Amino acid sequence: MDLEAKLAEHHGAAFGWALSCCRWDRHDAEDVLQASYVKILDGRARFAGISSFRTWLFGVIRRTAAEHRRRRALRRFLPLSRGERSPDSRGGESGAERALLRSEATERLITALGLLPARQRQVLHLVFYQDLTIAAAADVMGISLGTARTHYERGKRGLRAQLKDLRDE
Amino acid sequence: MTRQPNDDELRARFAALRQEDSRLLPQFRGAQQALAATPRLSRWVPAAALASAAVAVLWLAGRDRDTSDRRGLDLAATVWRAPTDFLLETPGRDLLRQVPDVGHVSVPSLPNGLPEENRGSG
Repeated sequence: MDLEAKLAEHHGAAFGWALSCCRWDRHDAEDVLQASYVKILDGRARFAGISSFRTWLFGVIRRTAAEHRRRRALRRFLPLSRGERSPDSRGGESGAERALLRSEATERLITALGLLPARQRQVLHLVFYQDLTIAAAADVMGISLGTARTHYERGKRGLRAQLKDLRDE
Repeated sequence: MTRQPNDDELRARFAALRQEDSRLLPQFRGAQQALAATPRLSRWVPAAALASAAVAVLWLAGRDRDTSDRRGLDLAATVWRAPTDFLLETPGRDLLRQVPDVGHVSVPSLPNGLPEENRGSG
């Protein structure tokens, strides 16, 4: 199976992971996913076959999302790329649009996940959303299994507490 | 991995989220389209880096020249006068600086070293 077909096969899962890495900003997730695919297709990111293709692809997306965040933070100080639209000008998914797309329960879950530290949010997403094992999640995140387990347990506790608080409000 | 009862609730929530996300899924583009649609590194980035380097070089050069100018200054040869110096120029200042002249006094010398009346009578 060629690279393009493999990417097409994992496209849905990759988009879900990109959404998580971009805190459910759909436009950012699309940009990150596109940049990750380009990286893979033009050979800047190569699959060595050490882990599964999916795990490797998720790692590429995670790193690309981090680069995207850094670049955006830099752009706030240096108005270099006037041609590129800001998140506000392109109407980032928020407010009314999100209310139409998301149910109340899901909206609450996204809010609660957003309140967790990034590592905890990521490990929970990989385990519960992507159905990966904690070991595979650790591979994607580039951390040890023990650290991933700690983030997983703390993340679950934190998420439940946040969901309870949001329900009580 | 053992599932705890509470995990099922979380799993159900994430499943709902996955279902909603699938509605937003963009169409997978082919390789050529993906490469063509990607914004290239902005031309401004290298230009801005070059301009920043030039500014830094100019600033460093200017700083070196400033310090060399300061090094060439002979502080011992400079005279500074305060704007209030004129207040020290009091009237008659020259007279006060001089030792007063009270005239010339001559003392006659005696041949034996002492005057007549100071010699012992015996």
